[in-house]
Amino acid sequence: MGRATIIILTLFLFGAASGQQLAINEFLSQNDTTVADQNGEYNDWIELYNYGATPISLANYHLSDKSDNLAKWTFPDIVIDSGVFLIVWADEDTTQAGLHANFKLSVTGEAIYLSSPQLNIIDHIVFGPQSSDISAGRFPDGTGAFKRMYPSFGVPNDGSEIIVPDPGAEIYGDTRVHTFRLHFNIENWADTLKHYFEDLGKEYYPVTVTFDDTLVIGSVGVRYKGNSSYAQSRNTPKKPFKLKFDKYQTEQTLLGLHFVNLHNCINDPSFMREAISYHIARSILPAPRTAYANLYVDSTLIGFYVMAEQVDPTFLGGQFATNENNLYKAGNDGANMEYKGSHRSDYESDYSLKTNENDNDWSRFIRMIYKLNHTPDNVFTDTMSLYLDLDYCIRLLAFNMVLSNFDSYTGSGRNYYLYDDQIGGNFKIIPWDLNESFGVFTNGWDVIAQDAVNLSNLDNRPLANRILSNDSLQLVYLNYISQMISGPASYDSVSAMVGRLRLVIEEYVQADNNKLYDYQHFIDNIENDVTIGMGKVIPGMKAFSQARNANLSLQSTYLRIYPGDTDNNGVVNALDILPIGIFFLIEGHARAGAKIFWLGQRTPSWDTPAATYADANGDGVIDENDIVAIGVNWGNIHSTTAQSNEINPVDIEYLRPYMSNLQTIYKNLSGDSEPVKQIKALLQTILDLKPAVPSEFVLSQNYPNPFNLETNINFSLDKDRRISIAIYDITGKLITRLIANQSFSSGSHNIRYDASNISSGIYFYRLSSEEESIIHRMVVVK
Amino acid sequence: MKYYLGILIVMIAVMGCGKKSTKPTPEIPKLIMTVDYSNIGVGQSSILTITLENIGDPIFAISLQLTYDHSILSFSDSLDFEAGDFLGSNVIAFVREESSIIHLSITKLQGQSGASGSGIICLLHFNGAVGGISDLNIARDNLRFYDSSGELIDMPNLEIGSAQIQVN
Repeated sequence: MGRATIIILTLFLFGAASGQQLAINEFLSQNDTTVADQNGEYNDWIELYNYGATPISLANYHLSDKSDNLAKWTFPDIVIDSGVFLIVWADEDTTQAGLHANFKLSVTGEAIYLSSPQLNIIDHIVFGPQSSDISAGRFPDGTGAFKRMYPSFGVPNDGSEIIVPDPGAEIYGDTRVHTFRLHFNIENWADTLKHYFEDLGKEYYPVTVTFDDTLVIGSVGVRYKGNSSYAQSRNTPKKPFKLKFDKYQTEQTLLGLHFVNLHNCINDPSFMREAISYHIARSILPAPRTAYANLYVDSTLIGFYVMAEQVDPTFLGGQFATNENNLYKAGNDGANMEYKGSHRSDYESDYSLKTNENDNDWSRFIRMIYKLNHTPDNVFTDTMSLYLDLDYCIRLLAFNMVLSNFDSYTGSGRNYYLYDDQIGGNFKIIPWDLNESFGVFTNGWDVIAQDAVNLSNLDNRPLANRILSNDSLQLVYLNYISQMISGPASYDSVSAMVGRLRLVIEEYVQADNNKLYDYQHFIDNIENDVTIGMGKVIPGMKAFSQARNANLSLQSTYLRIYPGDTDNNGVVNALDILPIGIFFLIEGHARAGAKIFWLGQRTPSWDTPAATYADANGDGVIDENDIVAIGVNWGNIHSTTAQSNEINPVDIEYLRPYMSNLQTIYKNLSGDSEPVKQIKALLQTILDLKPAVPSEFVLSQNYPNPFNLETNINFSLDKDRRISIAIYDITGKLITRLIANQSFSSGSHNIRYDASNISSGIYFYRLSSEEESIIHRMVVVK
Repeated sequence: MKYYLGILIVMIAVMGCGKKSTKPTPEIPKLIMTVDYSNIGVGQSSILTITLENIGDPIFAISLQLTYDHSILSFSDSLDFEAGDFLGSNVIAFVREESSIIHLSITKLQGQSGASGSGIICLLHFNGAVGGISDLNIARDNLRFYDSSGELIDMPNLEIGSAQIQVN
């Protein structure tokens, strides 16, 4: 398994220098033998290139591998001349002479940012997993797209691209259809395979295989495969198959593949679930590829199958920097990643080791599981990144949620692999067995409306629990969901894929006389739900996509409640008593799975969004129990992009209607704590606050304005006066007198105007006394 | 003699080995309500003391609803409330009377430790309004204990007492 492998080079953006003709021209993230620095160390390096006509001063320019810390490393005062290539070593060794950045490049992929002194990004690249001694460079220099290449350290790139052998390239492709013909040396092959599978422990039987009616391969191992998919199709001719090409002939492959899986589309009348789901998964994760195949025994068609790429060293070699480490598969009875002890035997019933079985060393796996379950919250993200790729895990959880793929870690706890990517530094999660995606496997949940965060099984899913109970990680997860439903898993994308696949596979589905569901089921299930045996409902591909995405879009509008921060201003303080007072005893819907510990909790908004935040404990009523959350979380802070509802405590006009509630809180609040003192002082100020005697004769703008039926007119008098207030239409005609030469004392006053008997339009209201008058405009809208 | 002494030693050893270690049985947690005067006159006061005993998991906050007959006893507001020693006085306490129900929430503050063991939650001062008997009860459904992270503490075996005040 020593094949050095180059993997996906995911280059999301080839930055054109904004104004500056300066580019990240080449980089090498795994330098084992190419060029050493002045200390003889083979370190990562980044090459910049000035492809402009003039020299560029790099003083205070920056390089970074973090988008949130662009100024991670700053250039000294040097100049890069026109046409010059400049090398920066990325080795975290800034004490060395020359240019040595304070970060290294990750061979599993990350980003490089080149920024100006003003932190404007001049160029950046996001890259995927890399390989030893293979660089990525632009061709043409400075402006071209990145290609995998043999390093050209400090000199122009020659444009020759390394083509990585891809064993699956000739086999897999969403719309490819192959032919496999099995030639048995026995008549009763079906019974024999059944006996080998059921009685001899999933044993293979030798067979000759003809691929695409051109390539004949002898001594291939064949057997049935699957667990529930086999059990459910056990009495039909169309069982799932697995071919193992090197079972009897070491090194024998099918165009480089050691295995072929032929899935019978159990519970998927559309024949599309795996193809589309894996396609979507591959946009965010290492995931198997698919194709379709007609399977014959000699000239007899057994059926039309989905081929799903085997997760094995061949697959791993295409995804990671090395395929030589341990690969674990979650068992069919569920593997929830719970720590069960320090011995291999504690886990062997839940997981199976698929590589390096002779070494059988589970120590790194057990350590990862231990860390997942025991790392304290405050260091969880940083610590776990040393053991488990949380970002991949989050992507998988988001994928499962978008496609309601609940026969997975998220739901049943199975159908995933964990690969110990030691070069990348941590375990990577890989999805498997997606035939029940698009809501077929419900896990007892509503596959359309399942909340993305509040899952009923979190107590038994430590990975999901720790991610979803971590504010930052939860946000990343929700962002992935948003990206997926607006991108690769959007209704439009799914519809397009469904249409494309139908064009290819419909004739094969129709011709498959052993298919597990009839042709009409296939046609119907593309669009709509169908009911198969035992009354099982299979969601329509497009109907599901539309409904699920709509629901997740709605969920994206949910408010994020931090219990105790009732005004959502980012801090729990005395001001948080005010929303409780303002909305005291108002009721709304309870928050599902409500907690009062310091965690952003999502919930649909109440009719009055601000009241949603005031229901700190989430029980659906705003009352004294919400004050517990203020105490529990007093002083806690969070960052929020949502609107703050902080109330200005001197805005007496706003608070006036709530004085009674605030008085109730004031007199019922007790205790010697600092919060009580602060809250009491705040309320005292509010309750004692009297409008000061105005120094001017003022007529305020009415509110609301425009208005429909009623509006408030406020005015202030600097001294006792006799005043009038009248309403006029736009022609100056008197509509009504609200006050006619009446005495009013100095201070602020409010009157309400009922406009129910006038029509829409512009009107004026006039405040007048013996000495002066003021006019304002108001708008009535009916 | 040696023979009998040997038997005796063996018997003692066997008896010793057979003796089960006695592990103290956790005591049942209790919420106790007591009044200093169970008979008072109109205009006289009686103090209800609510006490917790044998609490294992540290408690950080408590919310409860106490029912009584407000036609017999009067209770106004936080002036009739005193924090006890269980959670201490460095708390936020909120006590609200509403139609024979006293809503009470007491919480310690972030950074403080929860309380366990035994102690007084609070004292509530009632005044006799008219003659009659008022029961003082806390329903289990309306009694919540929280830990320092705000998680509810389940205490299914909590014994909840009650009290009674007669106004003459």
